[in-house]
Amino acid sequence: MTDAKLVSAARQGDQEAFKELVKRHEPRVAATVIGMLGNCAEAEDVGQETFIRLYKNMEKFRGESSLATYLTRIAINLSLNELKRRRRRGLLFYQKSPEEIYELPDTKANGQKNEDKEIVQRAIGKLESKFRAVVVLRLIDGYSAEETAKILHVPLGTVLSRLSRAQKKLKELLIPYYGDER
Amino acid sequence: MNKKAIDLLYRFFDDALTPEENEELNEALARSKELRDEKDRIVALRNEISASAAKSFRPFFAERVMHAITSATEAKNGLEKFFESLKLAFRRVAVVSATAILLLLVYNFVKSGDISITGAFGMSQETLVEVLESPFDATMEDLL
Repeated sequence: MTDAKLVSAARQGDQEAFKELVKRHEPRVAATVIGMLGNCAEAEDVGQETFIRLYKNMEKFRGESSLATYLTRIAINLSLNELKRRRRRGLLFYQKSPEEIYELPDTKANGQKNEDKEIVQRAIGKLESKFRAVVVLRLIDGYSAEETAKILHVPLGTVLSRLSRAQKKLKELLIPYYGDER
Repeated sequence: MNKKAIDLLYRFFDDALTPEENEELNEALARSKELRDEKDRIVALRNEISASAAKSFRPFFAERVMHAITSATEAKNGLEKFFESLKLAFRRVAVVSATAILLLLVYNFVKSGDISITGAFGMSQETLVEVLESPFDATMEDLL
């Protein structure tokens, strides 16, 4: 069944149709939110809130963009808000800075896939939120640079320069772990 | 490495370069091994980043979302019902109070036979002299 049909059924109160939408779009939302916030409890909360917002605004969804893009837009905005909240909490209660939260391990213990993933996620977490957002949308979610610019409401040139700076920073952060093997 | 060539290399992955820029980049790549290595590093980095994407939240995520939606809907309905019953209760109290006031007014009219504000509220009209010769003045005189 297409997204449009499921949305239409969910609008008429079909809970199973909405549940199917959640299952279908969970990977995209998880990639966005965990990419932005790391694998933590807040990420799951933001993921849930993304779908709750969709449920509440189902009538307003006119299908001008795909449902995946609509959800990504909600997820990225909620994630950016969460990062702002973290920063405020950090300022108020002297909590760890994002750089400290995403402390990279001293050495790469072994070449296991999950560990590689973890190291890359932590390196992404060390980026400023505006750089993180373009990396997540472009390199993880696979949106084009133009689509990324539209989702973030910034000019294309800004996306390109942020992408380039973010990749240079990530390369710097990851060289100790991978050296010249890449 | 040439800074312009590096910039072109980064843009190459995300932006369509003009034919001239493409040619310039290809020439630079052909000339410099360092630039070719940099390109390989960028490709590897981008692959590593896209492979790091999380695929899901904890198991039963959809069930938790549906539970959260049901709880929120029930809470909203509960709150709406509470305010509705509150409104109904206040309406009843308002109607009873208005009736009581009306009955009191009619009673006062009937008892005093006076159709005036004074009659309605069962108050006697006080003259200016009565107000000025208040018991308080008398007490003060006594005290002095």
